[in-house]
Amino acid sequence: MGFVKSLEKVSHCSVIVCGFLLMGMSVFIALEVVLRKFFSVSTKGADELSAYTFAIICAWSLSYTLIKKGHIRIDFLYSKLSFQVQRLLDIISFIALAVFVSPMTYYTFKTLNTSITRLSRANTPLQTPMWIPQVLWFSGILFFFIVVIVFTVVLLKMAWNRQFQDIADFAGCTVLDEEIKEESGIDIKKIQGLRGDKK
Amino acid sequence: MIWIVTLTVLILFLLASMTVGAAMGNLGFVLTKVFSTLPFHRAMGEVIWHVSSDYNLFAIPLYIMLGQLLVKSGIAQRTYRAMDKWLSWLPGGLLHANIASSAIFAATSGSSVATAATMGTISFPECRRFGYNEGFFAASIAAGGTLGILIPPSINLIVYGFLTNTSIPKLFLAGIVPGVLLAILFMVIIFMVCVINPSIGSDSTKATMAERLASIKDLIPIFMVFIVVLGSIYTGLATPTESAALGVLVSTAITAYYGKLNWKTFVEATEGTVKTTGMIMLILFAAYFLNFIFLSLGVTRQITDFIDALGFSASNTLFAIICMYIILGIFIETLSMMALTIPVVHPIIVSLGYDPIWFGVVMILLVEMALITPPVGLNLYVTQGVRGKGSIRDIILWIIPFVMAIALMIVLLVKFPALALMLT
Repeated sequence: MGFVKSLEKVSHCSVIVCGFLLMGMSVFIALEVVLRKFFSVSTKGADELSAYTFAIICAWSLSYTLIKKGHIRIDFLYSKLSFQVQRLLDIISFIALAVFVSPMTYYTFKTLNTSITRLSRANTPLQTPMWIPQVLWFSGILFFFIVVIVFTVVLLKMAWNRQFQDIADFAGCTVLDEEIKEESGIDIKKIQGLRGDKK
Repeated sequence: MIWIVTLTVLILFLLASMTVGAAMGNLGFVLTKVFSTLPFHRAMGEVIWHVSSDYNLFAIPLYIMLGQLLVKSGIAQRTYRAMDKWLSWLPGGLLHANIASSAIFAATSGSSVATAATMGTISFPECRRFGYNEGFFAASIAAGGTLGILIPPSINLIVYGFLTNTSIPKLFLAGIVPGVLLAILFMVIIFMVCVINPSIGSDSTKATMAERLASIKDLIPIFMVFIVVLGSIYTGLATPTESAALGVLVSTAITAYYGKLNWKTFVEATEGTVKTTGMIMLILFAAYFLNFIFLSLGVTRQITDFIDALGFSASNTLFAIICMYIILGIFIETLSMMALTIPVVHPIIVSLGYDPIWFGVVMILLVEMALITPPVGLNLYVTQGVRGKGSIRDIILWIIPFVMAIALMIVLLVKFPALALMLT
């Protein structure tokens, strides 16, 4: 599990970097808007750099969402099934994710590789060599692939050792409390706890 | 034939609770392997680069960040208190404040769950203090929360615009009038219910004019965000992505003004933003890839031809599509529902001669309805979660009038498309 912990740490660091990228890009875009409106000049690169920033954030966000169980699964039938069957579906879900992410990683690498071998440049004033943003973008997807594979292996090991409760904690569908907390920062359990004390 | 396989495999994957993105992506692989000798799936790398470097989509994380920061700034409490002073004299009292502050908060936030959870946390203590009917109170918050995705900025509208190549600024403008009208409809319902049965509400409280005027200063920050975000789009000064970036800076300033800006706030807001972004983007990667496969294999055209061949009139087909969404909304999470269906439904709608911008707003209303209809109406569970006691059945019973209000709004939009299109 030590390896899983370090993956989570790397992912969390990437989140902080994404936060700075978002704030930094906001300042840059605002500058562009002000310059364009009041001085009729353009930085000529805000759009393009935003797009690259977004690509990097997208790629690196995938693994963090996975770690936080944020990727959506339809639990309509799932929630009505027995504990054991749910665990089977958890494992199938991860294998299916691995099946999807493996070719995704391969083909995104191909895209990067083409940019490197052909020395492709963006058709813009900046003429950015495409490999520069694409390396950062692909590294995020590669990291996602590693997380998916490691998690799948961990799950299979848990299944082999019949640690079903561990599988539920590690890969089960999210509970509503967690979902609300992630989306709005409100901790329902804490609120209910406080109300309970007052009674 | 191909679309029967598509549907069967898809339903199977989704029922098995496969991650939605993986289910759609894997479906794409299955379809190319079975129905084509050409390796369409090799375009995947280009497709994903195209989606992840889309300038318009960059607005999504920015709007989420904006909302996250505002929640942490405590601005929602202030808005609620101010609305309470202005509206509580009406029969139904605080219930009107619930809807009005949800609508205002919605104008700065792109998420319904966040709107419902935030408003619920603030208002429930008041509900108990004044002895409102808890089921109706909770229902008003669940319904008010859905305004988050209709009143711009709206992440769902950005997703719709991206998947259909429709102008996002126009979609935003189209959402304003129906959004405000729906808020008013909700308040009319509350008014009527409380006039018919006064025990549902509570004694009206009346604030003095001086108190009301004093409360305006609490509304100034949120109106600043509103003006910067929507005003810059409306005047053509900024694109949605630019307006979102400006909004992030203004909400950072507001958070700092209220003394809530620190490292912890930044980290938490970023965590929430990145997590939601990852969730949306995996689905969009897969949806775009699957759509590419659909187009390459001609699935989309087959379905459009099939619908044409049925020979239904445009309005009947539209009716069938709306019914399909109401049923789908009962089972499937809303973003997945949009990503799955829009690439197929949009060409049908356009071929029938309907305006894609108008349909975007209809679609959002259907999504709102899905958010408050059991068994998977997320907002019902969110408000029940915040409420913390009693049975969710109380809320489900009282949500019915609000669902009817949304249905009425859909009917109005179908009869008078100008409601959505007048500002665009």
